[in-house]
Amino acid sequence: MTGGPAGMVGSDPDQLESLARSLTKSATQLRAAEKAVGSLVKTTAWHGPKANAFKGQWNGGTGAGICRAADQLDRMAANVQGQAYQQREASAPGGSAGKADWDDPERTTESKPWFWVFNHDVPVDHGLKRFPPDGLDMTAAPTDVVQGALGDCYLAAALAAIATTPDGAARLESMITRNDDGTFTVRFPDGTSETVDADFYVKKDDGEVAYGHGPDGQPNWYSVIEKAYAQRNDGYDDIGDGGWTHDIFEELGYGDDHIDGTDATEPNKIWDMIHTATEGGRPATVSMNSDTFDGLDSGGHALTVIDTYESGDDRMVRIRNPWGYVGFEEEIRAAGGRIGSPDDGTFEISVEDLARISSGFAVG
Amino acid sequence: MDTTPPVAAAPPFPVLADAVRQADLIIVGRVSGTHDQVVEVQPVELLKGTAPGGKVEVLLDATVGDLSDGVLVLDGSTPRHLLADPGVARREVERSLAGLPVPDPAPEEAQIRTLAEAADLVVYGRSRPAPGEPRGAAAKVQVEVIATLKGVVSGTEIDVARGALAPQPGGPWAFPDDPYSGVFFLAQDDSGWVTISPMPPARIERRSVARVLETP
Repeated sequence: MTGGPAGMVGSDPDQLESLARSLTKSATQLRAAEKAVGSLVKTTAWHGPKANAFKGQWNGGTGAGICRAADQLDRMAANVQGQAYQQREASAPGGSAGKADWDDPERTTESKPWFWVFNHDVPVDHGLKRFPPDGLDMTAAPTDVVQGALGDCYLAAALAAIATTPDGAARLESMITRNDDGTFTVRFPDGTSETVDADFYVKKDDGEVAYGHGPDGQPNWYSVIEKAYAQRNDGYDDIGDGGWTHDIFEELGYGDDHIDGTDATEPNKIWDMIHTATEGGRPATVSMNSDTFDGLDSGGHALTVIDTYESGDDRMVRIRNPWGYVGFEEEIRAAGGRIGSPDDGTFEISVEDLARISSGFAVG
Repeated sequence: MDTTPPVAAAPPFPVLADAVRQADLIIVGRVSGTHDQVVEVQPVELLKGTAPGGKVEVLLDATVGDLSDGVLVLDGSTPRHLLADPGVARREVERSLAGLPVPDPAPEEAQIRTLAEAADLVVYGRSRPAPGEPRGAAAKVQVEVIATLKGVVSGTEIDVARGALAPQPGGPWAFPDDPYSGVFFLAQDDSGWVTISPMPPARIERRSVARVLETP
């Protein structure tokens, strides 16, 4: 016999849905409590060692633990909802586990909620992300670079460009030394170095993705170099104010060839520069700004030149947005660009079309 | 001296894996109206969260210029805010929900070697969907060969079909709808050339493959 009253197999979908609602409500209450306390922790005028210890305990895991519990409740709610749905479908005449229609006039939210719930165990991690060093991926590839919420696209685009070349990937990896105490030392070509601790706060404590990471949301070699670069300057806020990719190339031991203005509108000049770079194993980037590209309302953006190729009369450039997804899709297509599938942040565009939307190029 | 302003644009959305984790509601929806910067969306299918009673209201802000039918990853506010690019591919959302990497991971060096050994033909080329292939789900393409990295091919264009793939959440990858370059690891079967890579050819970088194949 399987659970429940004698002879009963399965469940009452109405009761399951009631349970799901309770679970969801409890999760919401937990999150509200975490948010309220978190806000008080930030704003309460309490200073000194004990205050620091309390705040450290909260920020170091207690708040995140409450969020995890809420997530767990949500997952349980989703699974219970899924069970209710399946039970109802299976019980219906001719029922199956197929998908219902939102437009079904028979469906009402109160009496017959419609669910199509994945029963996957969705990984969750709200709140502050703090990482130990052992899990960091130190093998450099351009797709590892996903810009956080800082305005440091110039750094992200340049590092991804360096990682496109075999020499560059090796150079980036060799810059980083993992120390016995868990810290990382990043050595720059000018002989200076920065040692950074092993805590990588990829997210701020409000859950916003803050700093550089990989496509899986986890820190990697890029997070280490970004942190060292911030430390080398005046912090994350400083490097988040924008910059130039050719400066990064130069700081990392490359040349700083770059063109802008009218030079950056001439397809032949652009092609000579970036095709020669990709064929010669040198890193290259492209910049756009709001004057040249409709996708930007203000300011500018730097992207990585991944590759170039010729096919018939076409001279094509493959470009990667360091955001990790293409963004500006409509504007890219309107400019003549082609977007791949799946969206890995890359698009292809002819050098003639690129010349119309770019504001500058740099080659390391 | 630089005359251009420094470049600084930050992404408007988190990576999809984070967006899916944070989402209160993920739906496939149809846009049914717009008023005062708020778009009304009729849910067609629920991918995550609790089914709302009626239409869903989505705020159009500076980040979101317009909204069209498709998959929407939304937070729990009223009206709701988008957490991911509007029109994100359903397959990618389903992979994220299942905890799989998005996009399909590019091959590492060892995998490139294994694929190259197993392949009868490796070409770098530009594909376009074969006539009649559905948008967003093309499984057959015509490949304009730009360079042959292994094997021999006659002519400059070959027909290629997606090879067999293990079942996975979100379904198999599709070839891009637009002409797009990539590296095709191919074997020949009764129907012609088929891909043998678990990831789409567009995810395989020419320079990575050339580097591996040039190194003994």
